[in-house]
Amino acid sequence: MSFAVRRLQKELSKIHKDGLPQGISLVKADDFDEWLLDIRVFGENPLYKGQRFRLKFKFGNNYPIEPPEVTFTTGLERQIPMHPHIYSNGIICLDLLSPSQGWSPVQNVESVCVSIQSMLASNRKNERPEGNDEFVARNTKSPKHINFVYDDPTV
Amino acid sequence: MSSSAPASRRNSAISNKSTSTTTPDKPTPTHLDLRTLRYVSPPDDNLCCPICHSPFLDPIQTRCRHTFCSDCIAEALKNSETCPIDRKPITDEGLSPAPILIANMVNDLVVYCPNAENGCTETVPRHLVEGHVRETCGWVQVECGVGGCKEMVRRNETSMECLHRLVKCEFCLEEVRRMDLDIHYDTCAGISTDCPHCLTDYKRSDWKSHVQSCPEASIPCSSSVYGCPTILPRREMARHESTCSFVHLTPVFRRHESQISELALENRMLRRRLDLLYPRATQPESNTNSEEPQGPSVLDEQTYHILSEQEHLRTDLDRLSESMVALEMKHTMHFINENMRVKEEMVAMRTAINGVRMQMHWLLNMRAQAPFQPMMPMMGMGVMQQQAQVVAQGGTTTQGGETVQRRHSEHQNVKL
Repeated sequence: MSFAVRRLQKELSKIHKDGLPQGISLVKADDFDEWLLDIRVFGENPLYKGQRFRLKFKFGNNYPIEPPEVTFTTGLERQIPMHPHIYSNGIICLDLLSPSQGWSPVQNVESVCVSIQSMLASNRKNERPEGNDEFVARNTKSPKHINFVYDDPTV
Repeated sequence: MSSSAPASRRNSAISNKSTSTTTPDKPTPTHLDLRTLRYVSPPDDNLCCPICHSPFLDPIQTRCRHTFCSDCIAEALKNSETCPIDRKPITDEGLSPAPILIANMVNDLVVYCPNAENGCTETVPRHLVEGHVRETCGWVQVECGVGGCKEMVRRNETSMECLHRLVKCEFCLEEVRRMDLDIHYDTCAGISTDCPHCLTDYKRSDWKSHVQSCPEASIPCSSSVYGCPTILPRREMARHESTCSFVHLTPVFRRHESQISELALENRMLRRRLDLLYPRATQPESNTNSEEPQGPSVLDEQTYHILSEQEHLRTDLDRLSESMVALEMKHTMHFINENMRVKEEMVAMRTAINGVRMQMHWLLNMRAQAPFQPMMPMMGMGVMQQQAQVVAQGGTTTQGGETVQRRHSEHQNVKL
C-alpha cells in the first residue's frame, strides 16, 4: 500500500467521522486516484450566489509530498466559476497548488477546498484571466506543470 | 448431489490452508512496516505527523520546533527545503530527534498484532510489536524443526510431533501429511457414513450407488412428468404405480407426444415451403405464430435476406433502366438538333448554288450578245469583277445586273 493511499485513507475516514466544513461536500471518492467535491460560496457575493461548483482532485503516488491536481469540472448544473484566476477550462491558478511554491505536505483535501472557497468568496470581478481564450485553446499541459506567475495578492 | 457437497468443503479447506501458508512474508521483523499497524484506540491528533496523519514514527524536530516522522520530513525536504508548517527554510542539519517524551508517548500507543487478520488477538504497545512478532506470536510461520524438517508451520502448531510426516489414513490406507489428516477425513472415501434414508452404514465410496437403490429414499412417481404429484419411498412406489392412473395413461401420453412432435416437424417443413413460395403473404403469419420459435426464425432470416437482396437488385435495375431512357432521350434530342442545323445549312447551300448558276447563265448570255453591243463589255467587265469579289467573300447570290444593295441583303440571308 503506497504512502499516498494510506494518507488518503486517513483523510477519508476523518471526513466520514468529522464531516467537512460548511459548503463543502464529498461527491465521489471511490478510489484513491480521483475525488470529486462540491463547493458552495456563502455570503452575499452575487457572482456565485446559489450556485454549486465541482472540484476534481487527482492524486499522484507522491501525494502529499506533491500537490494533487485540482481543477473545476462542469456537470449537471455545475459551471466553471467566473474568476480572474480560473480559466474557462477549469484550471485554477493558485500558488497553494503549485509543487514548487505554495504547496506543503501539511495541506490536505479539506484545506485546499477551504482555500478555493475563500478565493471565490473574496472575488468581485466577473472576468476570466488575461489571455484565457488563447491559453484554453493551446494548453495541453497538466495544471501542475504550468508555470503560473503568482502576482496578485488581492484575491 | 452427493459428491458436490464434500468437494466444495474440500476446496474451502484448501483455500484456508493456502491463506495460512502465505503469511510468512510478514513475520520476519525486517518486513514489518510500522506504518501499517492498526491502533486500538484512535490516537491523539497531537501525536500524529501532519504529513502522513499517523502517529509519529521516529519523531524528528525541526529548528522551528515542529515535529514530523523522520521519513516524512526527509521526503518533504527533497521537494522543498522549507518547514511544511511555517515554510521557514530548513536543511537536514536543522533536524534533531524530538523530545524523548514524545517518542515514549507514541511508542506506548497500543496496537493490534499485524497478524490479527489471520487470528492473533494480541494487543501490545507499539515498541513491543516487533518482539511479539519475532518471539511469541503464535500465527507466525516458523520452521518445523522436528527431526530436521525444513517445512514451515504456524508457531502455535509446533509440537514434539512433525506435522509434515506422512501418516496412513486408517480408513482408506492412503498416505497423507499429518497436518492434512483432518481435511482428508472430510473427503476420505474409506470412512463409512449413514445413509440418510435407511440409516445403515455405507462406505463413502459406495454410498452414491446405494442412494440409487435405497428402498427408503423418496422418489417421484415415474409419471411425474405427466402430472402425478406423488413422492414416496422407493419400496412403496411399485404399489402406487399399480394403481396410479397417470401410469396407466402413460402409453397414450407417449403416443400423443410422438404424434405431436411429428406434426410439428411437418408443420415446420410446410411453413418453410410456404414462406419460400409466398414470402410477403406469410410474413405476418410466421411472426404471430410463436409455436416453433427456433426453426422458422432461422429460415425467415435467410428468406428475408434473399428477399431484401432481390429488392435491392430490383431497385438497381429500375434506376438503371430509368437512366438508360434518359440517356436515349438526350441522344435523340441531340441528334434532331444536329440534323436540323445540317438541313438548314443544306438549304442555304442549295440557294447559293442556284444563285451562282443563274449568274453563270446571265454571263453566258452576255457573252453571246457581246459582238452586237460593243459598249457593253466595259460595263459587263465591271459588273463581273464586282460580282466575283462578292462571291469570293461569302458565296453571295445575285440576280443579274441588279444593285449592290440587293446582293448585300442576300448575303445576310445566307448567313442565317
